[in-house]
Amino acid sequence: MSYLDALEQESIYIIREAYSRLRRIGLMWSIGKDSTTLLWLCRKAFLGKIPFPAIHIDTGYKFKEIYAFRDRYTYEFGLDLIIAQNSAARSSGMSPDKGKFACCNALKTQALKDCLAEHQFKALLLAIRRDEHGIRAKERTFSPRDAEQRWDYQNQPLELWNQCQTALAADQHLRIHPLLGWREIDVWRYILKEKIPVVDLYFAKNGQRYRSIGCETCCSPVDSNADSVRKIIRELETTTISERSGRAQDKEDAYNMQKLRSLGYM
Amino acid sequence: MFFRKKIKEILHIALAGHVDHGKSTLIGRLLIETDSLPADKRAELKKVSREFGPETELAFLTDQLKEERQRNITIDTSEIILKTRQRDYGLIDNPGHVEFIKNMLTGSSRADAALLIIDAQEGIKDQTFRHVYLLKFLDIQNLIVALNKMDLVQYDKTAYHKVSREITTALEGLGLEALHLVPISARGGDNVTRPSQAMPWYQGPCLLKALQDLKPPARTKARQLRIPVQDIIQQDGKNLILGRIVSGILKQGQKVRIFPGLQETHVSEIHVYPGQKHEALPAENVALILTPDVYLQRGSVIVGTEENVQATDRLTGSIFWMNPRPLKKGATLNLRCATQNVQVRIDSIRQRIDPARLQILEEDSDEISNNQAGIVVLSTLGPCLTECHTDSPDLGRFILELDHHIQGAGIILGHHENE
Repeated sequence: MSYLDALEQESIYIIREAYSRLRRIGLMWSIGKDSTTLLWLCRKAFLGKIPFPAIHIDTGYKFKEIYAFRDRYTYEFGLDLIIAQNSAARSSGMSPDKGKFACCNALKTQALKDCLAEHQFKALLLAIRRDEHGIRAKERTFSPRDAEQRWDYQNQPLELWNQCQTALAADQHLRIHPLLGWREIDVWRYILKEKIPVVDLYFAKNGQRYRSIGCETCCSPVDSNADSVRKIIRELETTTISERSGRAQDKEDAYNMQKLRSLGYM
Repeated sequence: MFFRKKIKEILHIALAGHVDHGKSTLIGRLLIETDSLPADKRAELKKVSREFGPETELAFLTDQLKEERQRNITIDTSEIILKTRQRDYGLIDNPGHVEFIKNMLTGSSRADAALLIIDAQEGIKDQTFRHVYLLKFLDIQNLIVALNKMDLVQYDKTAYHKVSREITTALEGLGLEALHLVPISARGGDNVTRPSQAMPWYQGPCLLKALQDLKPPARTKARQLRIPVQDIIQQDGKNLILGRIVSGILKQGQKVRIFPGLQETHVSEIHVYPGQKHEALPAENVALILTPDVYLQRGSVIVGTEENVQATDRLTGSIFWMNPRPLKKGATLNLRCATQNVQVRIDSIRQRIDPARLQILEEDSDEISNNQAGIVVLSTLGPCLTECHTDSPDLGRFILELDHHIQGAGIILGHHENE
């Protein structure tokens, strides 16, 4: 079995395990390359018919290409899509100008919290990877969250041999991470192999492309001429710049990611 | 082929060793010297180190939690990629404190090989042995030892030989052998990625070169068909059986039986989206349609027709216990093996073992304490299909749950005839 096939099979096992053991689950779809790959794997795991909803946390600040892509593939893949928004914060004018931490926390974390409460999910599938950020490298595959979505990173459960803890108190939920062991370049190789559609923003135009996408307000492009998946893979084989270098929310202070994640951020 | 270049393989290496013997620092040193870090991550490391002192704190690359940096310890396991020309390594950092042993076990459980670090001045300590015991427990055979902090013993070869002898004897006792024993200084960079001038008496490879000799572990040898059923879903009015093949080859049209009842049926369709297959191999996740549609559930196991499938309800296991409340003889717990989930009773504790001393504490014991190990005989209180761990890792290892929490792990050493 090839390296990519092994990664794929491991992820499909985790996805099926999540559904088998929790049933009430949702897939967090940010429309980026990683969560679109996860969506693809969920389709493979359930023969094209995903038996749970996909959730898009819509801050209202996403790139227009993201919305267009979302609507197109929601239709093409026949997804049951939930769009989660914190409309109260939006209408009271929350924006990155009020502080990136405050903005992410209100428009993403709070929106997710409301969505969880409304739909009573026991688990969420997320496409985070260890190689993205040192804090994400500390994660478990099945990671419990309390009622306030807090991550007790100083006391994480034992997890081995694909045996994960799934017992939950009534107000807890699990964050499940089927792509934890993938690297950025693995995701792109898999996208190439499987011909997975991705948002155009990843491909270079006028010497620039996005390596990581989120809100238009907080993402900067990198210099690049990679205008195809093959060229992106070649670029990643030699780059000296990290994937999230263009993501503003990591930069405000050294522990922003830890603070955001401990409060329930993705 | 999709790529002109072959994809570089990745080998996962667990870092093992006692508190403060230098696991995280060594990872930092390896990453910096191999240029595995993006430039902005390197700058970030320098910047954040300055809050704590003048030197770049190499350990901060994996010690990312604020609490870890403030207390200068590793709390939880982490992983970072080391890039070399030959292949990439996933370096799994682990905490050295006994309080965090479950995190070490979690991280190391996905390793192909291990790098054991020993402080040459302090020598072997509790977690050196406990970690070695766990590496053996996890069936990690591929091992390199780094004797760190050689600068603190003035690069003295007698100190190196003394600790080398002690650890070699201990490893031998467990049936393990280090491929190399490399004297290094992670802080100073001696013998890490290039030979050190300070230790001309050492003729072996530097650590980076030694890592090249680590081999991926051999795959499972079992050949009988085993597919633990993971789930059953309904699509288009049909029951689809989901499961991963742990051993054997599955062919369309094949006659199979369903453990525990051993009813016979046929595999009429093997679905692997977006199509169907005639044959599926180990590690593949499949969706099956069986004709006739016999009763089965999660935890049933699809097996072949040719071999004798004998469920034995008494097993001998080697277990590691992680709960402040001791595991007592006579206790009932929940055992999970692959997708199987069954109640078990601890019939006897043949040996109680202190992994920090690599010693048998007691034969025929009444309990096993926190972070201790033991050889136990247990009875399954329902059907469960298991194998010896050397034949089939997937069906040869299990976890133990108490109050819905994973508190122990075990490997199956053998089965007893039904009495």
